[in-house]
Amino acid sequence: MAGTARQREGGGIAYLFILPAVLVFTLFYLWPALNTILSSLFTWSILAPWQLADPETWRFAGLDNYAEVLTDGRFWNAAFNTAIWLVLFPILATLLSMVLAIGVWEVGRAARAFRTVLVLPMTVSLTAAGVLWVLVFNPDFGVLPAALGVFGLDGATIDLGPLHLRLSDWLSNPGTLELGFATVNLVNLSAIMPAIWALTGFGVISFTAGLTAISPELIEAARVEGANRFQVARHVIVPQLRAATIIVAVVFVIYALRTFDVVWVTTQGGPGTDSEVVAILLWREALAFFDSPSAGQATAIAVLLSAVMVIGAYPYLRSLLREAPE
Amino acid sequence: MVLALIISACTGGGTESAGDDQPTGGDGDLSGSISVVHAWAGAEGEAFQSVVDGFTDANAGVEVDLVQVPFDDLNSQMIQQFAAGSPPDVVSTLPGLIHSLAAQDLLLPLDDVWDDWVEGGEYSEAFRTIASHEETAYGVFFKGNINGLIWHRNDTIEELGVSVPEDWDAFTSSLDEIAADGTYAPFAVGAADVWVPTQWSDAFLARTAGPEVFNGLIDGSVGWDDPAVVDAFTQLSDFIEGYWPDDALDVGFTDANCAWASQGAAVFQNQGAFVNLTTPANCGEELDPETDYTFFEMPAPNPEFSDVHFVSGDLFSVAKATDNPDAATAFARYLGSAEAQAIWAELGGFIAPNATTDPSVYPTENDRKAAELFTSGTAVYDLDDAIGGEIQSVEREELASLIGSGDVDAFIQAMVDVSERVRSE
Repeated sequence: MAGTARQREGGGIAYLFILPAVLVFTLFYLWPALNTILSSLFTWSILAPWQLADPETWRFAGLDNYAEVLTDGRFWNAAFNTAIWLVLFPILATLLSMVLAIGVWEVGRAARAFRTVLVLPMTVSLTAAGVLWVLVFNPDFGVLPAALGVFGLDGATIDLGPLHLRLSDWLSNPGTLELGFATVNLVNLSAIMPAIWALTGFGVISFTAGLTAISPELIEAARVEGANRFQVARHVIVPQLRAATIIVAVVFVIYALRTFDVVWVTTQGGPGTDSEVVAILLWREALAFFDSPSAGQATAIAVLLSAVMVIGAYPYLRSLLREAPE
Repeated sequence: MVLALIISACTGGGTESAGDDQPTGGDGDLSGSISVVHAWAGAEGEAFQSVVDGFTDANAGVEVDLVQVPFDDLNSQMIQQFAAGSPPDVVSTLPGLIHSLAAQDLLLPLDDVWDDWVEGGEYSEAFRTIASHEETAYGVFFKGNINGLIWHRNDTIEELGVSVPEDWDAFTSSLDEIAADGTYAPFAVGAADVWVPTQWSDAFLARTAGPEVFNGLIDGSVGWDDPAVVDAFTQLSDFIEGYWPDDALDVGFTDANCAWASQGAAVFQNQGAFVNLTTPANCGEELDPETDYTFFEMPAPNPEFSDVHFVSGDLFSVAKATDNPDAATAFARYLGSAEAQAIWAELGGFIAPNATTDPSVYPTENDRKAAELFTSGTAVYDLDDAIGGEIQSVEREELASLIGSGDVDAFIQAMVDVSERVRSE
């Protein structure tokens, strides 16, 4: 009985200790989330905002904002472009960072120098990375058109089945990929490239941490068994990087879902809406279309986006909770 | 709302007016500080600073805190600040933004200021209408601009033997010859900046469909599927197909301007009068306006509308929430005065909308020619800036799509859809 009482007392103190964190969470995370969900049920604009404490501002819309969003072709265009990000960015960035991390790990003594070079772009904000790549793509003085020009490829067109690639006009019309049910505008890839360049360093760091945890004996044993470098990487190293791969991939998936900055500074979602992603559409609905009472639709988009993000992050959250000490 | 400006040649040549009796530079009794948001950077930012210095010199007790916001972000940033209840005291506005903010009672009425100006002959009622929402003035004009000017380097057109075209056919004939020759691109176009394509579309609309249709689009009395509108955008699309560079959407205004001005890569560019000032600043101080480059107004595709000019202008408004309404209003009054406008006009690339500004202040023949055009014939005000909001945003996006695809029907349909939706709310 005394032990139970002590435990109860300890439990009370424990709640006291977590109270500040709960308050911060409630004030800065839970309340804004609830407020956003509530506001998505009303019609309002940024200049005539919905306010919970002022019933005069309430124009109840129920689920109309969600219906409006989900039946709007523009939303599905943005969702499709976000899906392109969701597929291409995590796969390319994860693969590239894994290959680079393993490659750098293999070079031995010079590894630190290579790793530093790979991680350096992480020190640049994504906005700055986007601006740098706009210069890289510039048709008059950009590095990419100049490099392609050396090989006589600047402005070349490549037609490979459903792929129609133009090695020019990188930020407006570098071509399309016909999927049958939809057309992928490759201008999205022009916005994805700066993000890969800037964020691959994160993957390299994560995979390097995973690599250092692999037992050298395991690799040595595989080599003794006659496995070559590729086989060691394929059958020993990569499986051992499973946890790091999940973390890196989930972080990149979350970034892909909420991407805004790098798209904004490279293409502004254009030309037209060819590279408009959901986060940019949300911003436009709330702020650029300020004369339309569409902020409720913007918050509906935010709620939908958050729901997808939570589902996307679930494997990561589950792995974190599994690893948490009892 | 009628935005047609029928402005007779009413520049007063510096004549005195009743409005001149009003304190513009200041009475010295004002104090405190005011924050002023504007969109000019580089040479234009320096010119505006000179104008502001004129105010602070006359009002030593007032501190003016200037904040520069990129033009493309101005509307959204101001909306956020006004919505948050912490707007700047004085803000650079366009008619569309004035309507949005005034409709929510967020701007200070400036009718007293306008009464003096109109009475004194400094501005016409037409200008007042543009600066008003529901017949109350909420903005002051500061900087005028005339657009649809075809700028060219004198040495290039001399080399090519191109003369100033008298009409549309002569213009397109010259362009055909330039395109066939292949030494130079006909035009440099920086359409990556979203406002650049509207410089073209407004010029085509004004001088193909005419002022009635143009202003009808602004007030909603004419639909985007009106045959005259469809015809104007079809002609624009054909023109883009024929004479624009393929990489127009990948190049911004400054790069295109310099590709034309300093590198001589293209013969022409279609821009407003302001490039007279920004070209040397951006592309090389050795470039001399007038000696090196000048302009002619784009011939009218429809000769019936040869005297229709497409103008724009920068206005300023005072936030109702200002803590210092006296200084903020005095500053707005100062910006609309001939005294303030002459300071920038002397530096070039500026048209003073105040009719009492002395024409001799313009430093180059280019500036004088532009100022004369501004006050001649029938003028229509920049379409998307006048409409603002979602229609403006969608028009800019759809113009980029039109440039890429040439699909006029898709453009018209998108504009019909957004216009009907916004106007029905």
